[in-house]
Amino acid sequence: MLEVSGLTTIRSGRAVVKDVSFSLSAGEVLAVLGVNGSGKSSLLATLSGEIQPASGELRLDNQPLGQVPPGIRACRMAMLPQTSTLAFGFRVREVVELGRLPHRSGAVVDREVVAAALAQADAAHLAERDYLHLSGGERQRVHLARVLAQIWDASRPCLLMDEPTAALDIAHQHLALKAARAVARRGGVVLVALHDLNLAARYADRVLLLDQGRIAALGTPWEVLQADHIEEVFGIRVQVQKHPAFDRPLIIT
Amino acid sequence: MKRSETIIALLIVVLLLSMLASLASGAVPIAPTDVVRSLFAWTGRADVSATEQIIVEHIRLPRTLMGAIIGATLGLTGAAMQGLFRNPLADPGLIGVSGGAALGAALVIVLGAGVVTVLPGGLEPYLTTLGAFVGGVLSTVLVYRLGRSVHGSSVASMLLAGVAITTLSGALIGLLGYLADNAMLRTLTFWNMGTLAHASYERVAMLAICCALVWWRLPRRAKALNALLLGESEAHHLGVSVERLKLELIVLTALGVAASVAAAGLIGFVGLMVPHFARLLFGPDHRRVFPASMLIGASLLLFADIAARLLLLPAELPLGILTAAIGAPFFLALLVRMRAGPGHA
Repeated sequence: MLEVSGLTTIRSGRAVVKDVSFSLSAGEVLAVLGVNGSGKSSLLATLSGEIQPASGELRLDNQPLGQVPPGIRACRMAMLPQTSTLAFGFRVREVVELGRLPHRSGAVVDREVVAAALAQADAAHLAERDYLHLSGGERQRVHLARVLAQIWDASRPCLLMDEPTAALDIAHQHLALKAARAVARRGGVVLVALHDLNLAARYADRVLLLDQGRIAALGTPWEVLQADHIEEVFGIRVQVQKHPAFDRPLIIT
Repeated sequence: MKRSETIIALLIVVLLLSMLASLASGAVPIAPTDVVRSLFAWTGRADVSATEQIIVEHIRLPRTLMGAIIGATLGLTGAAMQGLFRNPLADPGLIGVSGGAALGAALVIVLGAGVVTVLPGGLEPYLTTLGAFVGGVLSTVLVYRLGRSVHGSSVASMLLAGVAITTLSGALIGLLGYLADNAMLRTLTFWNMGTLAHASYERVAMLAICCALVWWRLPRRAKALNALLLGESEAHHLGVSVERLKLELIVLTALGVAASVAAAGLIGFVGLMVPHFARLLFGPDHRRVFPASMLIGASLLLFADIAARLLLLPAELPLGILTAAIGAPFFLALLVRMRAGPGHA
């Protein structure tokens, strides 16, 4: 469904994503891992069309992504940013309603979608609160609800998440990734940049390890999250075991 | 009826009252009933004295219309600029348009005397207006180009460029003051402080043509502007063509403000203050802030103009002094109340 081939992105004269190729089929969650500055955010920004690639191709359902009109792209592709700079006192419900901007589904449908998205992000109780009065983690959940509302009724959604768990407590970290899984289950694809290797191991179908903009490893969590790969990229020796409850790797530092 | 609809209805009533008050007050007070009769004199059935009818129809009606149009435009463009810059302190002056327009007008007032003599007489009063309009549009183009780079337009550099252009215009206007004679200086002062005293149906028509475009286009971008408040990347992810939106907001604001300055000179504080009142009433959603800013801006400007006419009878005060004098304390009071209260709207 999403195909990336030979993607190179240049920011301020420096190649931040170098010759990256992979493809995702419907239903897959891909975790993007790497140290700070390894190009995770730049990769997501390029996929979202926010920055133009210097070379390479991006295709969504065999259509070059650059040729999809922004309004149509936004109906099925959403991006959850790392941080947000909203400085105006919207009600939480209004912030989530912004996610319905690309759609022409009417006020009634929008209201239902917003309520459902708020509930999925565990933010329904915040609906009437002033956004500016929320904590960092609460704000992050509001934006999660906003992007969920944006692709709520898309048949083959594509969700990009840039470190969605950074500000969240442990329960809500799992909630965010479960929301990602739910998007994939509907026939969508999810790319999620993460720092927590265990969250990636637990929720991703495949893991992409970035090292200075290049692919260091790409495969299933068992293939990629091996002690040698991790030491090579992150420079730290870890132990990898089987999770006692799931057939997933468990990384112990 | 929902709360927001009730408030909008109230604001419309306030605007109608301010228009009626503006038609009724001045050196010759006219009773509100006579004002209404004068307005309907053309039906031939109203019974009203000829003097009053002439005052209302030829002096106060164009003045009132001009005040309402300018106030609404300044409020609307102020709200748009605060949204574009994602900064509640922005106002239309920030992108250099007011400063450039004032400089254009000052250049014509002080240096244009030679040109005026060769022009056909009928054009003379409009030369200042034209100067203001050209100055405003040119300075905006300059600011926009300075703010552009290979990465697209940067709001921060545009803001800095706007401040620089405004300061430069101020310096040049000050310099022109030295070259001006007494009569020119008076005109300059009024221009820099704003006045509706030169209202005429021709000016109203010119203003209405420019502002109609602004009133029609800007509110259609309210939802996109809401998304822009999230940040430029977020707006992009929501399918907004950010560069086009920014260009459109800048061009429409330049058009509206340049036309306003051209018609009545620099009227400060309205564009900065009015959107704040609107947000206090409705929250930051531009779908409601835009119409509310227009209604509040129009009413505020009309009340300020009434005060400008009445306070120093028979002389008239510059309008900008009044908008600042009414606006600033009200604004400060709101700030204090906001900080004292548990939260802000």
